[in-house]
Amino acid sequence: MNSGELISCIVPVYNGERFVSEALDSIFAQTYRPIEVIVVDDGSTDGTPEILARYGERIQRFRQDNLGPAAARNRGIEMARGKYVAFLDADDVWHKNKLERQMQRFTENPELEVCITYKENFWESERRSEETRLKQQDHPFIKEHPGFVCQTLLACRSVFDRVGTFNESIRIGEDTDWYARAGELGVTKEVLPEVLVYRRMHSNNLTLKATKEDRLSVVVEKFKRLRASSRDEGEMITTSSEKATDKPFN
Amino acid sequence: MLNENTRLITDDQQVAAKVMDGEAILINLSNGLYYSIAGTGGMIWSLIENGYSLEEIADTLSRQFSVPKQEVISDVRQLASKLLSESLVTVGDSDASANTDSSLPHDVSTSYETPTLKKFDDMADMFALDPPLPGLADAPVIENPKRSQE
Repeated sequence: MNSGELISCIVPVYNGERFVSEALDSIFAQTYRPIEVIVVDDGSTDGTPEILARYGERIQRFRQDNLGPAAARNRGIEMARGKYVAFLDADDVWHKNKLERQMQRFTENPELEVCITYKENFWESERRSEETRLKQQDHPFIKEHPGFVCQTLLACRSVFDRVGTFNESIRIGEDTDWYARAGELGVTKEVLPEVLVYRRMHSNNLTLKATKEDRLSVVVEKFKRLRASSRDEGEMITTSSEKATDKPFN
Repeated sequence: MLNENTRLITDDQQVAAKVMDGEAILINLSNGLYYSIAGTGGMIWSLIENGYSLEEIADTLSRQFSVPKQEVISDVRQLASKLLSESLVTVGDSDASANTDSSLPHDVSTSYETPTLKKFDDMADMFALDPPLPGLADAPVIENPKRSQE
């Protein structure tokens, strides 16, 4: 039985004074217990340390020089004592049933190693014009969708021994890289089709600063792995004339 | 239709590309599909990016690798048609001229190899709704918002 297992909730934060309380409060509002909350302050220069201090012993705090989200998450994994690990970014919010619903899935499927949920984006006032425009366009970004990001993840701690931790050389997209590596190793995964994470769009989102080069860096890592393993993946694109040559008797 | 004067245009908003060890790696940002062009793909992609027509690409490869141009032009046309069918390029103005001034990447392969295009969809779900997304971030961003109430 999985019920009653400790979940380590890891929150990396960098200059998160504006929203970090809301994020932490959504962890403490979880219907699931027991939990431990680990906050890794990635070298904040704003009022984040003072806000974290208010939580006293309810959170475990660790402060490091600014090394980026992947390194902060990895530090949290090192500190984690739980059999399960979950992540929340300092500007996002969990639904109060998030951990409980995911732990139900682990209880019902003992083979499960990774459970992610759907997420929904929400907009702060300074990005309201973007929200309005995307709604008018009926853009999929405005709708609930599977969240292949860290904030939705609940994973067995042991899966990080198998897949490894987050790639600290990737500036943005370390979560995508991790999910890709987990997929390549056949990690047992389930996508719970319920919105249990709310991702905030505001003026300073790190992911909205993602560039094409960031996206390419994740793909480049994938090709490095492919070359190292000599695995043959991908679908060869052929033209109709080539197909005809391949199958002369059709 | 494609002919030897055709120049392909890369869509920088939609497609990100990098040449790595002679191989071109492309990603379509709007759907999360990504591609590799092996063989002499990296060089061909660089020539496309620099506005070379299909014939000029074939000329360049033919000279570089000492292979008959007729052999190369057929490969280049087939690759162009595949890139078009995957919406990785569009057909541009044949009357434009190529940017022959910019230095092309040194191709690591010593012999000509037929370019092959491969498509990968294993990360499409993960990339599909994660920035950067074309058309997402063009709303004005206020750099110093008023702090919300805490």
